[in-house]
Amino acid sequence: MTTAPTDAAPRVRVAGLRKVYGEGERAVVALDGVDLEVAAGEIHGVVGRSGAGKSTLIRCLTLLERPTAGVVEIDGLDLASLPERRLRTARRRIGMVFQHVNLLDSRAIAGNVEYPLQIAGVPRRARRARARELLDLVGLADRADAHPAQLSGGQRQRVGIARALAVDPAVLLCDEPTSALDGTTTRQILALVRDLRDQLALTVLVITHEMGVVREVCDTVSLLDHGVVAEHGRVAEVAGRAGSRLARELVPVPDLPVGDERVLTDVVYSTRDVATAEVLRVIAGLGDLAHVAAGTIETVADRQVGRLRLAVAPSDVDAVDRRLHALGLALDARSAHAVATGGPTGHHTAQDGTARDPQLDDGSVHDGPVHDEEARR
Amino acid sequence: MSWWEELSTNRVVQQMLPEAVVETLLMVGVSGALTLVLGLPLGVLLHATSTGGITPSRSFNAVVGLVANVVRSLPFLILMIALLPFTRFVVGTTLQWEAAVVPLTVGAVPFYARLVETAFRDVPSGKVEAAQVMGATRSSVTYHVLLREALPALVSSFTITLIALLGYSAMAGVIGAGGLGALAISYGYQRFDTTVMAACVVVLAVIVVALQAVGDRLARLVDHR
Repeated sequence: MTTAPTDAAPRVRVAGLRKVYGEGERAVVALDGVDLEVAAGEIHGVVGRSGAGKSTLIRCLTLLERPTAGVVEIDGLDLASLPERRLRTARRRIGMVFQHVNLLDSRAIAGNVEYPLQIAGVPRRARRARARELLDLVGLADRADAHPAQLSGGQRQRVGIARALAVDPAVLLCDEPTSALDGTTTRQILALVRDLRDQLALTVLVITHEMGVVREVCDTVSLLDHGVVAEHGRVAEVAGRAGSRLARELVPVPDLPVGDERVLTDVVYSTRDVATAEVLRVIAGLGDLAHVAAGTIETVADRQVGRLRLAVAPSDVDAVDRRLHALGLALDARSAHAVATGGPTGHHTAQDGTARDPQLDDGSVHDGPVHDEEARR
Repeated sequence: MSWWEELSTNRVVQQMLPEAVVETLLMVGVSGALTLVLGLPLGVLLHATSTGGITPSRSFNAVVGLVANVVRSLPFLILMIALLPFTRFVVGTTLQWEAAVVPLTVGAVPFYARLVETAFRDVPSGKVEAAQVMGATRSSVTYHVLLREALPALVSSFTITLIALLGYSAMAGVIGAGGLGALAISYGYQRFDTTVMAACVVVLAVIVVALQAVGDRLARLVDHR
């Protein structure tokens, strides 16, 4: 903590992080060498399904769980190497937001925001003033004397955020911050996180299973699968990436029954590169070779990203692919239904081959859309 | 004679009941206070040293837990007699209400400690972890999170403990501790004085109801959920 990292250095750096529960034959590998970096001022999302290792990752980031091996560096400080007392001090540089907020019922709202300051030994009057300031920042200045039970879920999470920011942390860690909230409240909380990042130059790491969170606030994203980062990149770029599992989940297309002899295959594009109208014009020009069976156009990271599901006869797939190439687009062969088109293999194929623990392995490659995400819009 | 005349002319009730009530209240009050002072820290210690506590220590927890369980397993009457030498050593006598305080406290401390431990275990672990992530020390986690969040349960548990103590104090009457129990046994039971018996029962019932009402009131007062 003595030497502040330069802005070029990542604020969160995880390297070769392993966490194994139990020993011998009953050992469960929760994290199998996670590498992750979040640059200063960025909002990074870590997504993955249940059992992918998200919870273990965030517990290792705060050292609530001791990593079996690897480096966890927050704000330039290797937490895993610190003895207990210095770890306690170092933790005060991290702000953390929890899914279930974990406010103290025995304290009023202001008291909850003051608690981390009290731990840090800030005098009472300074604490009071800071709590008011923070509650004002999250729009709850008038509820300072209320108790947590008197607030709505969204208001409670605002308090949780104010509390996390009390000690002026360099890094804000959020563990499923909106998973217990409804759609509208989720958007408000995410907007708040983004505003606070801009105002306070925070670095934020969000763990979530909701792709909507990634679409709305994240600059960069990592997909955690079977305890490793299977895919990562800038959200705006990843969303339009052909053959990407993250892209399929970021811009989901509803499942369709496979009708005749045709194969369903996707084309993804980003409006930075090509306009929707142009893509549609090209597809129309393909005539009987291909027609659009379904499609989604999403705003991801302030940019439109489209995914069109084409019905193509198996013998025509190559021809369609060539025509799209002219536009700088490619068919997303990984999501082809019914007939394997033998396209380039994605990460998950390799992952499935090395699956270790049947409990962590949900066995699906996940071609379909995320239905609840669809329903929320 | 009506029951009221019966009551107002009964010499035992007239002369001995008030003193017996005071003795009972003193027994319960003093041993209750001691139980709070000793049982609360013991409960904190039991929780802290348990697996998942803030300073897990299997051996310490096993030893203290075993002692607490053995004491709780003894019927109070036997505990009281077994402790007679210890009582004489501490108080200097084995008679009067002062002497009863010793076995009452010894019996109630492990009882309350277990209730404290349970109350702490019911505090959601997320709250403790949130405090730890904020860099809280063990003492801050114990005081600001565990004790404060469990306070309503601690108050309710203490009410239960006090009422149990009241029951035990009546038993202490058997070996010469005085109080309502002694009065009910020596006059109501052994001398077949139904009026004394009824008066003792009613007074005990009133004390229990009052304790419970005050306890519930206090628990609600400190509960902000």
